[in-house]
Amino acid sequence: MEKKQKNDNRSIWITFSIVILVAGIILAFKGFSVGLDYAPNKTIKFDIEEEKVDVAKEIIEETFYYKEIKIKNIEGEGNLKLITRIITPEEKEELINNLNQKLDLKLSSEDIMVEENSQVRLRDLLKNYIKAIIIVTIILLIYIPIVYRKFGFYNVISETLTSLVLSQLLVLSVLAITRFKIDSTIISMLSIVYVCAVYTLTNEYEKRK
Amino acid sequence: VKKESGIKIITIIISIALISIISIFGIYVKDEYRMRNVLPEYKLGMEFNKILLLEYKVDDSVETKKYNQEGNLVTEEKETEEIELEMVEIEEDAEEEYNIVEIPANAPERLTRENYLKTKKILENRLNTLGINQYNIRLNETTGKISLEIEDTMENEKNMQYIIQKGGFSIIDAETEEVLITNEMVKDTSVVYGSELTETMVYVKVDLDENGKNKLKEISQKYIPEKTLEDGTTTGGKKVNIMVSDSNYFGEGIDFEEVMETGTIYLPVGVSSNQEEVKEYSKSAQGLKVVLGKDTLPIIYNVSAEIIEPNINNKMMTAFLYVSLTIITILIAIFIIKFKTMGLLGILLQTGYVSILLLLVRYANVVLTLEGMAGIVLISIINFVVTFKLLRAYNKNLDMSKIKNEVRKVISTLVPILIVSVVFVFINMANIASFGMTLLWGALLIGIYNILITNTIFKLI
Repeated sequence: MEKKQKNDNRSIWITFSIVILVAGIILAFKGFSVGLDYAPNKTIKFDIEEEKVDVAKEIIEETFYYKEIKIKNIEGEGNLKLITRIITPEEKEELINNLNQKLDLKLSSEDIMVEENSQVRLRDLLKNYIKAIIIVTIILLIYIPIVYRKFGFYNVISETLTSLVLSQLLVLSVLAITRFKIDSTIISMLSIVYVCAVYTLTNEYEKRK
Repeated sequence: VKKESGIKIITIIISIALISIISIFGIYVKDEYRMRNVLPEYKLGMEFNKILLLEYKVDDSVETKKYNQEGNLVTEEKETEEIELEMVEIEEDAEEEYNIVEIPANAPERLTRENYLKTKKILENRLNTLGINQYNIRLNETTGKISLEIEDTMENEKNMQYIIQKGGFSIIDAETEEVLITNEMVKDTSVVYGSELTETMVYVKVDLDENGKNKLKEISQKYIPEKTLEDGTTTGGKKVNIMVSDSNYFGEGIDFEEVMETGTIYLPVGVSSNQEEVKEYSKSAQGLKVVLGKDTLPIIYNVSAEIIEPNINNKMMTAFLYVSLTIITILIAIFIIKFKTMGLLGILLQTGYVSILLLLVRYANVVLTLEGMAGIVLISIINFVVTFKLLRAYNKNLDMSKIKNEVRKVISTLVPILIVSVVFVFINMANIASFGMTLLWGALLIGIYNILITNTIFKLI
């Protein structure tokens, strides 16, 4: 029974190591895949009559069915905004032609500017989360070993540290391997996994008590 | 005794059902012409509301200035049409003798990556000081363009004027524009209040360093109201302009009635006996304090603002709803398969927990961001696990002491979660704080709910 448990543990460790290693290699070459809102992108604003906005949205979606786009309503100057990663002059021309034809507009390529936007840096997105995690991990590295010291103070410290750090590394690794597009949900994912790791760890100690 | 227990159980069950109905549908009262829900609305985060997008583009304009042979600036100000015509003639005659200088709004040496990053940092500091703790900022390190997304609220629209200002404080000679006190001499700024009878005055207090203090003392002796001396000559009459972000704060020149020895200047913001107005003045003073800070934007920007629709639209919310419904269905199925009739009690207990948590979130004014919603889902699942364990312990016909032991274990596992939530609550970023808040209320509720409700029901059954 104990031998089986040891073998299971070894398999888990090997799997984790492989996942993290593969993710590391991917990150070294390609980095994370970032969602459209957070990646460097291009925006085009259109001034379209209020009643034609919904149809215009459909036309834009049909024209760019093959690429990732976002269309947002704006108040003020220009009332429709197209966000995409890249747009060639030909694509821009095609879109303007489609809008002119189907909506009876007189948009010209010169009037419509493509604006470049830089990315939201992941480190800006995550810096406060990292700060919070460091503080809370330090506190838990004091609290958990004191409460469960009967399992060996230093042993509990190492198990706690490994579980908490590994939980975060695994999420990031899975995101890197699956090429999941990182956006505003990243903090939710990391936080949920962190809390689950804390809960599972203390639950495990409670069971063993 | 059995009948009494039965009544108690039914009362608890009806109460839970009632709370659940209230939490989901609300309490409606007639309000003149329509029915109004008296429960507080959920406060949703930036991603669910309209967004105010501020775009800072580096000002690349160039101002052309003409200087005459003596090196004096030739302005185009004319008082009458005649003078204007005369001047134009003179200018045309002497065109070749003018020295034309082109002055860019931003000197090329200022347009560096370091200055772009510094601007971004200053904007982040201003946002934090103004209490705007949910935003997206992106900087193009090549062009210096900065895009800032904040929630479109009345308050943020007011705050915008402080966020976009260049910032800085100075005192200049009203006539010669000689800079007498510079921004570097500002040691500290704070919002202070004074009162006179029923009125409260709101000021921003500007404390100068030693150098500034001496300079202020000196100029307060020099820039005094005009006086006629005994010998008939006049003295004083010189004025200074108090400049905030390169604009004259008082709109006109001022002089000093007395010698300023303390090195402190008070900028009045407003006075009122109405508490609401005082609150508004206080917010304005906070904004003014932000731009008076030592950090002034190193680059001049052209700022444009637009309001865009939320990042999370109806499609995403519908998807979230479907995912939540799937999770709920799975949990219900687990309860029923595992515990049969007692499973129904488990479902009721779980529904009661989520309903009370949602009411707490409303009444505690928790700002619900995406992370906050994730917190609610997570803590509800943890409560599901807790209820599951308690039902399993009960099903095994364990005595109450063992159920008590199970509750004790639940409390022990909740303490680390409470630690996580408290740390998160104190992080000055709305999305992390929102996760912490929902987790904190949820974890506290798990403890209280399971001791008071779940435990009591098990005792009574």
